[in-house]
Amino acid sequence: MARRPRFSVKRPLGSEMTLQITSMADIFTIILVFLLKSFAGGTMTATPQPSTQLPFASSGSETTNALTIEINEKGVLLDNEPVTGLTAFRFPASELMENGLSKTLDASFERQRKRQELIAKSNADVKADARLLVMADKRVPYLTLKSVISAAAVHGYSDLKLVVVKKE
Amino acid sequence: MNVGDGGGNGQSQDFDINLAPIIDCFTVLITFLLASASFLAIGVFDANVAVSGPTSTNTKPPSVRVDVELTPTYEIHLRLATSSSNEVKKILPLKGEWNLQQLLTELDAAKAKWPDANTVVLSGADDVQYVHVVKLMESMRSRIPNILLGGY
Repeated sequence: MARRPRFSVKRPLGSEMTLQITSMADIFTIILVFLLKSFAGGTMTATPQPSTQLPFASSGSETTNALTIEINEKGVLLDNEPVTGLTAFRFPASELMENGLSKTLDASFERQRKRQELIAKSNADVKADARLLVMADKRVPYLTLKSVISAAAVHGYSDLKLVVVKKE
Repeated sequence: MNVGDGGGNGQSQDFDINLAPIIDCFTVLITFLLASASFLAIGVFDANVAVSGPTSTNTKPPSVRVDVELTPTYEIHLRLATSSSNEVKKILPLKGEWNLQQLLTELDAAKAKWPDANTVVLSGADDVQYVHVVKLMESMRSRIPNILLGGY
């Protein structure tokens, strides 16, 4: 009995052509589950600005959710909102008070602290948090860092979490 | 999806689920997740702030205070202050870099002499970059885990 050539199969005219996308759906499902699982595992929600170069380190503990402050070349962001500008990583002289703290940063920390205290007052389970995630560019001078940390400490944010990029 | 020919009347019951909208949904979701994903492995270093304030009365202060100060010339000043002495050791740079090995050796010696030394106050000159502070912190954490940022 002669075998029919594989490529000579002809569909009857008028029959509907459907693309077999079941396997593609399977692959997409796996990718989606993998991505969602990766997102669920991560606890950190804040990501630095693209221009911020975080320092590298070979160690470091897991991240936590806390109030975030970011220091980059152009400014300081508290809770992802721009607070004050910087000139080449430094506060302008007009921005600094006599004790070396930034005026607007000090006011912003005070607002955040009051907000936390207000929440803590209405909800007994919530306590005012001393944690502060510091995402500073690796080129930030210690003078600027000192000013930011001092302003934070004045308002009770003394438990600093310095964010680093883990080396592979 | 082929569910076989179960009909007795000769009519085929083969049918296909329309996967196209599902694929569309998946494509949008995957694109969104990939676009918002951060591929950096991020970690944190715990640090506290060396601030003055009321001290707890039921905790005994350590017998030595260890201060590490970084200078812009890669020189490290290690200060060991006790109630009776105040010793400052200058650790010179090695090949234009921080001499971390000598710093760790000095910290080991201090730890051997004062076993209750569990805190280092790290500070830097105004121009010292943050990357150096993190580098020193990472090195010292292997010897003394509790690091405070000071210099105010």
